[in-house]
Amino acid sequence: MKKGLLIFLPLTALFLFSNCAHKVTRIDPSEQIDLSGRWNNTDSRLVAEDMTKTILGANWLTNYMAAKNGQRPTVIVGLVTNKSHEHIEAETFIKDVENSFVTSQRVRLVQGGKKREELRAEKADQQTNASASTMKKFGLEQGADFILQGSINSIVDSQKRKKVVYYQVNLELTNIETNEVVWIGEKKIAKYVKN
Amino acid sequence: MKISIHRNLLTLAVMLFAGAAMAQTTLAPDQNPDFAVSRAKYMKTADSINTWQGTTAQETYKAIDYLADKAEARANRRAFRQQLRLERARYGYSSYDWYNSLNYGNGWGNYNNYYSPYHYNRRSNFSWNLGLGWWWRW
Repeated sequence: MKKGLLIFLPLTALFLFSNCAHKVTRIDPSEQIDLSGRWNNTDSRLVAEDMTKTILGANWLTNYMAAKNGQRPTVIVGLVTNKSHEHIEAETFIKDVENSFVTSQRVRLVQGGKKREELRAEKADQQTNASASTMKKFGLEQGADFILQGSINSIVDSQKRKKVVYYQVNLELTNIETNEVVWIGEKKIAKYVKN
Repeated sequence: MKISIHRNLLTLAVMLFAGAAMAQTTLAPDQNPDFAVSRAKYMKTADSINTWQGTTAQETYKAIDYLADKAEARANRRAFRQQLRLERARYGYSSYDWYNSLNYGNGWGNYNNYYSPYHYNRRSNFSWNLGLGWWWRW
């Protein structure tokens, strides 16, 4: 009896521990896994796919190139305002849009914000530390023609354990000189969550 | 010698002034002649505004959500109880009105107070009076 217990108890403990153990597995980023119903990587990917597809195929690009003798437009990414009920970082899908600009070679992209500050600081450092032949000059930056800005909005309708969450992501491309909005991208996502 | 230096300096100043004046008055077709007013205004603020480029401004709101509200109320209750236990451990159990000292509730056993964590459901008039007043007084 005692011998049986001595064998049985460690085995039971081992079984329980193996079930409770922390486990991590790599998954495909494009796989759709919804756990809480909140904004997740699938939503970000859907927005990115939709925006990249529409922004490069819209009329603003052909219109600009026709007006400027085939010259490519230069775009800078501005501020995205998250006015939804969740913390959402727009960079996850904005980077995909930027990537499409660079890889397609149809739109020129320039740095803005803190990265641009860093670039200028590096340039300033070169003025006194780099050799004369490799020193980069001030005043030769590519000026942007358009600015890409955006907003994220949401509507939540909940009743006890049921909830419908609606997200609307908008990206807008505006001509910096004329303030004319030349393109608006829109992605709507609705989720029904039942707890 | 002195006169020639003065003459050169004067010529340089005139040229600079003329250049600046030319730059100010050369307008693009249909450009607003008062554009410099706006330019001067935004030149001062450009650096601080442009640091936000490429970022996400979080202007989130609190949605009405039954389960989220419930979870928040539960967390508040736990924090309140822990605080109460800490206060009692520090200053003794029965010598002081702890509920009022923590600004929760309006008396022993009465939880129906706006500031109480038990008043978790802001859309309900349900009272959390558990009738424990006699017990707390012991």
